[in-house]
Amino acid sequence: MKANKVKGLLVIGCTCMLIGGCSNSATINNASDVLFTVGETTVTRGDEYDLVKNANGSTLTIELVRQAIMDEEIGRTEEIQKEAEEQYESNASSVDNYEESLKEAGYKDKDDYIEKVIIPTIQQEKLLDQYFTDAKEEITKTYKPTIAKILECDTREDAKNALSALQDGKDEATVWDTYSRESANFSNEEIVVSTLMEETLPTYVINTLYSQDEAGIVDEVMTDDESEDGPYYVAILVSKDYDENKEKIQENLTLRNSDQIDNDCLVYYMKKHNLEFHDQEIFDSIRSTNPEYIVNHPELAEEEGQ
Amino acid sequence: MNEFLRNNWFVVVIAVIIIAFISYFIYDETKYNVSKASADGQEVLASIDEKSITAQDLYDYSTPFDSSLIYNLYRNQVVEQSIEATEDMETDAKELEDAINSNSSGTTNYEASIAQELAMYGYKGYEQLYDYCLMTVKEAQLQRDYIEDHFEECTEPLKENNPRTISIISMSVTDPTSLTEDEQKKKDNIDKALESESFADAATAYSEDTSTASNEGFYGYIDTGALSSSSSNSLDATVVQAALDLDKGETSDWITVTDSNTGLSSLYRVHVDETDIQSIWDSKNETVSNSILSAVLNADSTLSYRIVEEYAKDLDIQFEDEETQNKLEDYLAQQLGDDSDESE
Repeated sequence: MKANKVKGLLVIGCTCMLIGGCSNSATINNASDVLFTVGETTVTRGDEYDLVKNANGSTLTIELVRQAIMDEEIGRTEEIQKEAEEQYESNASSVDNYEESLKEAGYKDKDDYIEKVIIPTIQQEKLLDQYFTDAKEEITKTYKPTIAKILECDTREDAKNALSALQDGKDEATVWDTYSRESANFSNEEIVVSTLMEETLPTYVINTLYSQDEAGIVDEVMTDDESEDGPYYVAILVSKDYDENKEKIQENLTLRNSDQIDNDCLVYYMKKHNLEFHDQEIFDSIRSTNPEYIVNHPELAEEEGQ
Repeated sequence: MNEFLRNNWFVVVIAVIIIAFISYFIYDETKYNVSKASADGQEVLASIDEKSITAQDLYDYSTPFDSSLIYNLYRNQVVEQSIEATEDMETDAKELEDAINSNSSGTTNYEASIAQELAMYGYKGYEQLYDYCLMTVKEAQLQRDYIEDHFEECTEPLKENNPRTISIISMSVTDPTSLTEDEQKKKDNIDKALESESFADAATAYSEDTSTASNEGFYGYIDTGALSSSSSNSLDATVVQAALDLDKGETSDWITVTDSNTGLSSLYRVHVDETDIQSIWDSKNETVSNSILSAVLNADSTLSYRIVEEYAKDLDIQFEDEETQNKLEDYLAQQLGDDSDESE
């Protein structure tokens, strides 16, 4: 009898393990509080929580994670508080009944709005600045940023002549004027080259600049591997010193794809702070939309990228 | 023991393989199961280092902005309890459910997407899709009943939108500026038919618009809303405008329409069948009936809220939470007040 009972419990245990996550869905403490009743039907706080979670649970959880990371990394210093107050006053001075409109949108008052919107916005900017310092290695590995000048020519012949002229020490502006193709995307100006430019510049050019150790003219005419009729590129590597050019690189990468950079920043600090999910529904939802946020299972993001 | 292993080595090997297989199976099936956690008696959704994000945090973060969800929960109950479902309503709800499923089933994770959408309307999961559909059908019936009882008042704002039902005749042409012999002949035949027969007969005989020709050219309901880019109306704006400029019983001249995507050209004649709101409302045509109901509700965006409030008066509604009551009242005041300002 006892053996049968143990066997029964084992089967139940194994089944629960296999079904997995059946009881790993969190709820709130005062879930049974009644909000209102219509006839015989009651609507509770728990009902409302379940709906909020089903509708936006994963997005809101990530927002709360982001806020927790920002509070940890940046904090809410007096300086930030002051900056937020000033920003609020500036907004309020240009909009009639500003505080009233915030209340209509769901905020309690001015302080609530500063706390929930303005301070997080300032923290987000500061976190991004910090990310470009903290994550130097990841950023350089992913985006291969360099400062360079790019000359885009119609023919290989033009590119060869331009390269010779530059190597002979001819005036750069004259070389650009002489050999640059009419529809060139680049002028004789220093630009930040990165992998975010892959639509306008061949990957080979980006990689070659990044792999060159010393500043100076790249000793070859470059082109897109897949294109047989140009354009052809000549390039001068101005600098690949990340620290020296950090601000330029940050400005350029953010301008080119702010969503991706913000996401990279968030994932970097999620990893740093060992983000873990403890609710199966939230985990499953994030797994299908943003597997990169499940930082303790990096294989999920890799599978998605394949 | 050694002798036992020696005598039964094959069985032991098989047992080890089976155990290894089962262990791997269990590991593989459970590796993405999360571990439940709690902090200070609160259930935790996620954690970073020592900090926990709890279910309560999520609730507190969202509740300041949950007015529309509270309203939907309230509306659902008012509708559910104000009208009994008939067999026809259940059939309509099932058809609506099937339509939603078939429209979404091509997309990945469509059940999850529908569940997410349903949650915003106050339904807890994909399995409640039918309940949502039934509520929608019941609400439409309540709206119809209310509008019928307050017809003049409810349809007054719609008058400005030039409501009407129309019919069309169309024929495709290669070059509208220079018709071929056959095209010119067909056009002339249509003109002749319109002089001697009804528009319906001419449309049945000659119109190339397959979706309307089999129904005597009857296109359905339109109003000024059909000119909006967000309208689901399939007629070109030139044809709609011509129809809006006509009186009941009038037929337009030929209208040329060239599709900017395909470059294909067609010629249209449009006829106004009915402009009287009551007659359109009484139409036996289900599509027209649904269209004019939407049109009446769209012409006065406070109406659907007023109807719910009217039926709520007959129900026993108790608010146990003052904050929720205030939130709902503010939300309703905003929907009713703001919109009345706009309409003034």
